[in-house]
Amino acid sequence: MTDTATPKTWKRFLTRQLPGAVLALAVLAEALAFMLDGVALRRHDLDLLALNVQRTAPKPSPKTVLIGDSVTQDILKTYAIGRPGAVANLTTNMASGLVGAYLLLKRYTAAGARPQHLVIASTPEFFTFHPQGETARTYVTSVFRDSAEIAYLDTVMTGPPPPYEPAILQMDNRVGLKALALLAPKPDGLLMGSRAPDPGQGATPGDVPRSLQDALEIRGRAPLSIPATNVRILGDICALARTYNMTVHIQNAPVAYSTYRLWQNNATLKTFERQRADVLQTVCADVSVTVGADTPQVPDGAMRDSDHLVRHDWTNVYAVKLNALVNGLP
Amino acid sequence: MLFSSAEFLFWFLPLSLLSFHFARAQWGGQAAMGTAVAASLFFYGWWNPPYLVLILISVGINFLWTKSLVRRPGLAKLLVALAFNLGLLGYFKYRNFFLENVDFLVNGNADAIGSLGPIFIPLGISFYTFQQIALLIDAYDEAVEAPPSLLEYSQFILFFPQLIAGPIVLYRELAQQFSNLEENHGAGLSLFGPGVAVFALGLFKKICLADGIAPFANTAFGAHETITLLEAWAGTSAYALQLYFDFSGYSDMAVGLGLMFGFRLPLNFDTPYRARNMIDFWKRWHMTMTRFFMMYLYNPLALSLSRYGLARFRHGGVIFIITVAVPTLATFLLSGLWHGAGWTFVAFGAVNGIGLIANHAWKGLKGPKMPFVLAWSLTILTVLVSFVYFRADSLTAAHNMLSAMFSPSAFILPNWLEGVAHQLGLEWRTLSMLSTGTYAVKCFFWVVALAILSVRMPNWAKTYDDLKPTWSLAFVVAFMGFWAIGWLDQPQTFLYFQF
Repeated sequence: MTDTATPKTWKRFLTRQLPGAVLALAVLAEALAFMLDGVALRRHDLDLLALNVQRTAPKPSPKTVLIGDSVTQDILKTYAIGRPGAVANLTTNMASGLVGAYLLLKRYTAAGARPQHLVIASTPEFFTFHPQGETARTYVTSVFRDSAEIAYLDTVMTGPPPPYEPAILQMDNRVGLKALALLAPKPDGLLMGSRAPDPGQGATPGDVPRSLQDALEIRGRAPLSIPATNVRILGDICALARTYNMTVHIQNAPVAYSTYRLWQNNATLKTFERQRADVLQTVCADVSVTVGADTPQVPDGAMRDSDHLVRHDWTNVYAVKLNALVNGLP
Repeated sequence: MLFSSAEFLFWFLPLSLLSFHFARAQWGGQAAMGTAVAASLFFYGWWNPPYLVLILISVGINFLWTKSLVRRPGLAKLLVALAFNLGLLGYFKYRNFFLENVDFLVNGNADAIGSLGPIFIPLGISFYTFQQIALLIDAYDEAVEAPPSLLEYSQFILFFPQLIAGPIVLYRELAQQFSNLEENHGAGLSLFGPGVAVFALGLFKKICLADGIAPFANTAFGAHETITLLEAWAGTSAYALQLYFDFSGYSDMAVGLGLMFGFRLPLNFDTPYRARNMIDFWKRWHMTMTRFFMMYLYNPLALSLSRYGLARFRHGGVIFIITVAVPTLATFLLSGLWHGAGWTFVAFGAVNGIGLIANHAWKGLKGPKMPFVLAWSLTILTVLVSFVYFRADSLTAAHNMLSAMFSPSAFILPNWLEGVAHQLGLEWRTLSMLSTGTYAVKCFFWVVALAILSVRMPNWAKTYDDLKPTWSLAFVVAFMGFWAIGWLDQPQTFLYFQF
């Protein structure tokens, strides 16, 4: 040991310097967190969208607003769906669930947008999944922080609320990511793509590796049932549609043959669609709701994983379908 | 109970430290060691209480053999003791692997495993078995001055900081420290401060760095069937960094914990990614395991083969093969197998063995000194290739990764670089790993940042005697501790626990 590092100086380190540093860092973190409290996070597309729907209420309002999960989000971010200015993209991902879509739509309408049509284009799982735990924290509760939103989330989010933690133990969320959000550019708009869907373009499936086969099978065997919380949220979406005179259109996203076959064999899809129809009849009774008759099917090799299309020749197929749906709305 | 778990950090560790130092101050060193052994047994039993019986049987029998060998060394006694230890290790760790391969050779399939059912490997069995084997051989070689008491022996094998994943300690490294403690002039609390600093650094490396970069490696290796060149390199680099920070973090924590109890445990990592050749790399990576294999396998084997080769052959090449290549390859194939019962681990050993043989051959042939960048790149490339085998679930998965890494046709750009791909006439698609630009940037940041840290971060487990207890050290330790505790809610198993 060197001359300066004696047991005595280490004792001072352990009894004074280390506790002093702990205290100083804790206080500093609280102060930084307090200063950055109002800064919106910018971790993922949903953070951006939640920020932009409030800031950029377009005039005139787009006629159609689209919500859904990532398989549809992939399309909207790449393709120009509908006529210019006619569609607003509020698609998210499954992790934020119906609850995230509802709160986005609420922010959008509260900002003055008045769409006539609400299109829900998604996987069936978008209706059956309800975020919990860390997923809910990352994609819902830390995104929607207005007091009315917090009050709403208190009524629909399951599981105990996270206990209070000092800012020093949440430096990434309460300080680091917020400081980065301050530095990040603030693009306006709703992440709309510019490529025109091409009805004449062909599509060829790629390889189907074992991991993809397994993923498709796992998806095909998983149950599809709408939980009570999502029934409530679907009712709230319809209430919003009712308030702003929107018609609701529901379209299932493309599914791989293998998954579809398993759903058919086990009557999973049929049971789910029946349940969804019953729910809509109950909670959306006085809203005009149309449900797309078909679930588009694609070869297994058109998928990147269990629920995403692999590349633009296949995303184009779905884009063409969505474009026709949107353009066909009155 | 992981070192990085809340129950360890906030309950077990404070209580065991308190009881150890209280017993030491009140009743002396032997009482302190007794509390440390009791705490270690509780720590081990936390995972799977029935395996306590196995480790106690192993410790009890080996203690008696060691004592007997120290008093009267005998080859037969040593061989029986080694057979017992290797048999135990073989049964619990390699039985299914062995039967699978016999079944494959005899019947052309490997279904025997199905009828046998899974076998669970007792935690740390490779480590505590090796420590006991080393002591048995040392006792036979008359390198142990006095037989350890049962308490000393138990403390040597069971001491929880090193019980599960090393470092692989030699008895001679602790014998004097035990004596000092028993005679009440041990280190006491004088190493506690440096121990806290070393432990905090290890905790930070494990929780913040290794676990932080792990998702990138997991995604890449999970998608080996469809992986592209860029993803394969990113994933393999991420894994190499994860493995280093995971295991060196664990080793730092072990050394730090040892210091808090007043014991100096040996260094296990010495900034290995600074190595400029394979020999240098293995002097820096998992040093106590390398030392074990060198002392107890390579050296005796090389010595025997040298006597045999030099007496019979004159040709330099043949002598090199017999005296260097064969013992090196044998040692590394076995060290690969020690890491896990699977052909991927044998391949991991083989790649490193071949790398070392090439290194020795280059030295033997007096090849020109390579520029640092070239030498370092070749070393890291060899290490990365071996780590692909280390991480992959099967040889097929490893070969998928390697063919993507080295096949120009696997150079496919992600969809968010579609415009660039069109301009350059390259293929593009939606990739599994680099699926979005944001994710790719994050991955790049993690790999670059951790690569820099892996060669620049101070190695306090090596230099703790030179640490100065200053305010800046206090802030660094507090910062690392807070960051690690803030991320505690997603603990992962240490990669080396499976070995």
